Amino acid sequence: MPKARRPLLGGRRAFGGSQPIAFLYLLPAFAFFIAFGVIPLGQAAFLSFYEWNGITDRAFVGFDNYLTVFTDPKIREALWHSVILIVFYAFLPISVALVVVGLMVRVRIRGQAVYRAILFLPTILPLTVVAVTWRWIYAPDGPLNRALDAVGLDGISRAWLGDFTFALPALGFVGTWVTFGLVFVLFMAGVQKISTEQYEAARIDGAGVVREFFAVTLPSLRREITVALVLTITAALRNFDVVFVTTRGGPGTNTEVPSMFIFRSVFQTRTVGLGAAIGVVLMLELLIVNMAVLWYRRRGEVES
Amino acid sequence: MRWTTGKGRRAAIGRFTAVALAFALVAAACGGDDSDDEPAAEPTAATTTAAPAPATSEGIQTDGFESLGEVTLEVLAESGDEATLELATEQFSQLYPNVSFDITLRAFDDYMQIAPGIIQSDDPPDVAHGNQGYTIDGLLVSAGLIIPLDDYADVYGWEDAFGSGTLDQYRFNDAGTDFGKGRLWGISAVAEFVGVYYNKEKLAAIGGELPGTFEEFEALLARAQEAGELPIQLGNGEGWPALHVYGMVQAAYRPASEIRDWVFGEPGSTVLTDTERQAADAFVAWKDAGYFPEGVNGIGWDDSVAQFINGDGVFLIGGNWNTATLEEGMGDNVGYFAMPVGPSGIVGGTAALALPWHVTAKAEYPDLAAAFIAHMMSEDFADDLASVGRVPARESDAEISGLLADVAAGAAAVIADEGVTLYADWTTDTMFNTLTAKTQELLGGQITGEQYLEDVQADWEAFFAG
Repeated sequence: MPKARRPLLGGRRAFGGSQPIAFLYLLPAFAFFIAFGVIPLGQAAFLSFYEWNGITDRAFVGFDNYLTVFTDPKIREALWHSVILIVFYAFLPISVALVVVGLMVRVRIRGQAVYRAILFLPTILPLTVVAVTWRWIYAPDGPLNRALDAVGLDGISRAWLGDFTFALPALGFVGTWVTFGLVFVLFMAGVQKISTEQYEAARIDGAGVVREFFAVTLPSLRREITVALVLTITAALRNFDVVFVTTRGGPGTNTEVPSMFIFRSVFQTRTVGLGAAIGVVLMLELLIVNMAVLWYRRRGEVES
Repeated sequence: MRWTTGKGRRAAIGRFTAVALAFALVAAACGGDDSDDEPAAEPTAATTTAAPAPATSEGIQTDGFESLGEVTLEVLAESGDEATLELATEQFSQLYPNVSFDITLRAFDDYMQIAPGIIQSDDPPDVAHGNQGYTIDGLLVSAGLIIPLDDYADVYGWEDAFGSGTLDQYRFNDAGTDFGKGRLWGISAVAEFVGVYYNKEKLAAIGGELPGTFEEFEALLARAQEAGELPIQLGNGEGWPALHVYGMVQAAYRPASEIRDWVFGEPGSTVLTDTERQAADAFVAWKDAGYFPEGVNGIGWDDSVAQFINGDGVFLIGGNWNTATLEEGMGDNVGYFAMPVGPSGIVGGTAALALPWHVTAKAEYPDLAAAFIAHMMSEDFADDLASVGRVPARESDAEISGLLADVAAGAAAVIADEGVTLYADWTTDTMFNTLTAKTQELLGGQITGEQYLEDVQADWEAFFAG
């Protein structure tokens, strides 16, 4: 079995106690974090215990807003949708990227940099641009349907974003498309750090493509997978732009996500406390899922 | 006059104001010279209206604002009224050269999000747009941020001009908790009516004439389909466009007064009546018959308008704010009529006046602010409204031509027949979201007409029970 790689900075402990002055360098970032991270978070948490329309006096309501979050079927549905989106934003692109990377280890492809650049493009595009583009692609007479019609699959073509069965998967696939490039580039970088001796050793031991993937590539990429999971799950759970631009939660309530409710609560129904409560719950959801990912990685490292 | 919106802001203004935008830019570019080019008659005409009949309420100043010296009125407005404001402020400044304006414009969605906060701030505007219903106007009233306009309505004769019932949409009790009753808090002179646009060539091709009754309209839909045409162009991606279509069917089966009572939350109002069930069934029957485009929930409203312009669809049921876009795209080939909602030929449907103008509580010169609003409400200004593409809600002898003439005639007919049914989404703070989701579910075949009505009524009950 391959031995675990040392963490990149693991050997350089010099930062710690010996030079406390080093902490001063953290001060600007820390101040920024307090001003734009911690304080708004505290405000949101505070407001979540009030009923407030944003203008007149607020009234303390205890945990009422949280009760609403967990009992309102519409908000629960939205929270559930955000979980489904994790499959599309995180698991799908990571699985596909792993397979592709596994293959590319064997087959050296010319012009990799070009592919990488193309695949990375969706990640750097503003999400609103992405959403507008995909709204066009999914339109009843858009390119996707025209392509389906052209190959005789006109039975499948439909108004994707207006379809009660396919709207959510269609939005999810936009997420897959967006995050795939990031994940793929991450993994490619990870693979290049694996020493060729490891692959040679595996091949001498008679490992095939599959064996080589599970024995060498996958374990070596654990760190990258963790990073990819944290980034993509976060993107999935806080998804707002794509839904807002394409479906606004429709058709019906089939693509509602928590952030749409936050937006509506604060700006449309003016129930700021409820919006804040949803925000806090969403943040906790994010925290729990990401903690689980990190915990899983730690456990994996200890084992290997 | 100073436009604080800045150039960058203009880019965000909606499609509706393309013409207005051009006008504003020209005006800005020409600077002071521009006003000299205006017809010389205008100031005189304006003078006669801004100094109306003698005041009936004590202590309200309706003219003679020169004595105030140099003053600036701050106006916060939704950008749909940009051209309107451009004209009105120019005329008013000619009346009172000592009055200048500081105007801030925002596109609709933006506006509704930020306006209450700005009006509440330490430096609020003097005059500002609101929006009918609980989420904006109710909030502004309950927080004491705007002042009642009843005395001004008396002085300037607004009830006679617009009809007392028409102004109910701007009424609230003083606590902002009872909509449609109590004092008058805002006003607008612009009609925002939903009606039926039609493709003239296509209607002629199926041998159709303008319908005099709802039955005749339904017969035309069937005939259009037989001829292989799409009867009604519709894109319901946003959820509200189908609501406007439903509102027409609803008006055909229920008296307008009942629908208005429901919107205003009159105790005991319900959509679970036999007549409303007939309306829901009829609407579902249109869907089942294939009168709407395939995948209607996946098409955005703007896209459906574009499709209609391209010749797909005989009818388009939509608000009169689409007039400029449609006329630009179709020229003489597009017409408009108010929906005949009954066998007797009366017309009606989803309709209301535009966003109300409010005078804020902190306005330094409320009489001046009200006088400026009154200028925009005046009979003479009604003609000017038409010239910037807005449909005046009060009678005017303006010479309007083209599609806007049809639209204005339709609005006048609906007002005359008392067929205004308001906008259903004003009813409660969550009704917009309920209705948009439910119309999509109804058109997607996810729920029946009966379920639709039950779900909508559940929202109503939840709001008015609490």
